[in-house]
Amino acid sequence: MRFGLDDFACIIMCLTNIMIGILELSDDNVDLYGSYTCMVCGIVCLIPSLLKQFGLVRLNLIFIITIVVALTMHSLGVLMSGYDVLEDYDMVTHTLSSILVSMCVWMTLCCYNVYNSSSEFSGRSMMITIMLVMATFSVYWEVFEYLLDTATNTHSQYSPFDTAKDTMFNMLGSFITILYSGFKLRRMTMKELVDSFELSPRLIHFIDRRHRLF
Amino acid sequence: MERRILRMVALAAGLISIATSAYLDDYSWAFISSAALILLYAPVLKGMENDYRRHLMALSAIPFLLIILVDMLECCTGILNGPSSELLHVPLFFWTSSAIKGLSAFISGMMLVSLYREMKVYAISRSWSVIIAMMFALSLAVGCMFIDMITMYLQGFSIFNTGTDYPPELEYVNGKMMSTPTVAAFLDAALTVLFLKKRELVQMEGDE
Repeated sequence: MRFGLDDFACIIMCLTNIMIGILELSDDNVDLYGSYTCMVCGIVCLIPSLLKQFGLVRLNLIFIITIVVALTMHSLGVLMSGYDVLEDYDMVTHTLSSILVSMCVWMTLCCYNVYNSSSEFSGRSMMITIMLVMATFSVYWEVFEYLLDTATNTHSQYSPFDTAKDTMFNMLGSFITILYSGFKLRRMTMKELVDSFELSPRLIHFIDRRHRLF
Repeated sequence: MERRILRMVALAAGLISIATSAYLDDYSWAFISSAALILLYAPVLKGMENDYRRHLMALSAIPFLLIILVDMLECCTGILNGPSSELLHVPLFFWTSSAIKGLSAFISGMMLVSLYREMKVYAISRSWSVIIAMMFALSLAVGCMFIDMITMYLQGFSIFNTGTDYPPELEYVNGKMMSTPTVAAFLDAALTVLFLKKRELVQMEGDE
């Protein structure tokens, strides 16, 4: 597969994150958790490019930029205490992350719509499903944090207001994706959109098998 | 039993349960039960030809009866709200009520999906419909979370963490707020597995 601007963005952000992580390791007051977070985020930045190079799926540039920005903001937030120092920092990362997850949900639903004859999502059902899936993910995330806090006696949830705020910004992210999906599908058909993903035949076959999971 | 009678029983039980829960300051139940009652009456209000399966309608009344039972037990004995009956800083009463909310929300989800299938909003398999029902139930749990938080704030509890130390009061407030989503996350997952075997319930009666 041809090397493009999207691959370049992935590699640059991967190297930047890994280098920041390594530099932190050489610091006297090393923050191991922050350093490892940077390195892991750096590796994850490479995934879109790897998916493209292995011919599995080609993600569009806006989506890839959102991925690398969200990952870099998270890693820098952990390393430089952005979450603690800047009051609204987690608001931005939560919104960006939920945009990413809801875009994944949207793209998956589009693929099912095109390749699986047993599922058919109209504009309205697509919108409802994205909102429901995101609400479900939000609940599981907050419950996970709550149980983790209870088990380890930490306070990652910070406060009830903070939990509610996180959930609200998760929903805002999915709302932004819904607006984006509406805008995108006005300019092209769903078939054209899914074709632009250049899905591998194996993935198409996986989607096409009816009721494979159930 | 006649559908009309089932609806009347559910409506009566629903209204009584809203009153008993409000008496015990459990306002999020009003949100869950209102959603359940609106969905129960939706086919009648929309004048649809087909109606929910009888079993689903009968199931929808069970949470109303259960919450009345728990509220009565709490009012008469107080055994679910004492200092000795706490789990993760939250009285057992709220955990029990959260479990019933989770059950009611799931049944509401099943009704919503049946309705959407009938209205052709959704054209998906019955198995996926059960999963959508679970997602709807968890979305209602998010609604409960917000209502519980606002209620506690209006009752004078602190919902903000202003200092570096974690105020002990927040343990209770956060625990109570998270009780419905926590129970719903596990209970609704279990109900999904259970209802995948009874997935014909997401189809309206007469819609084969």
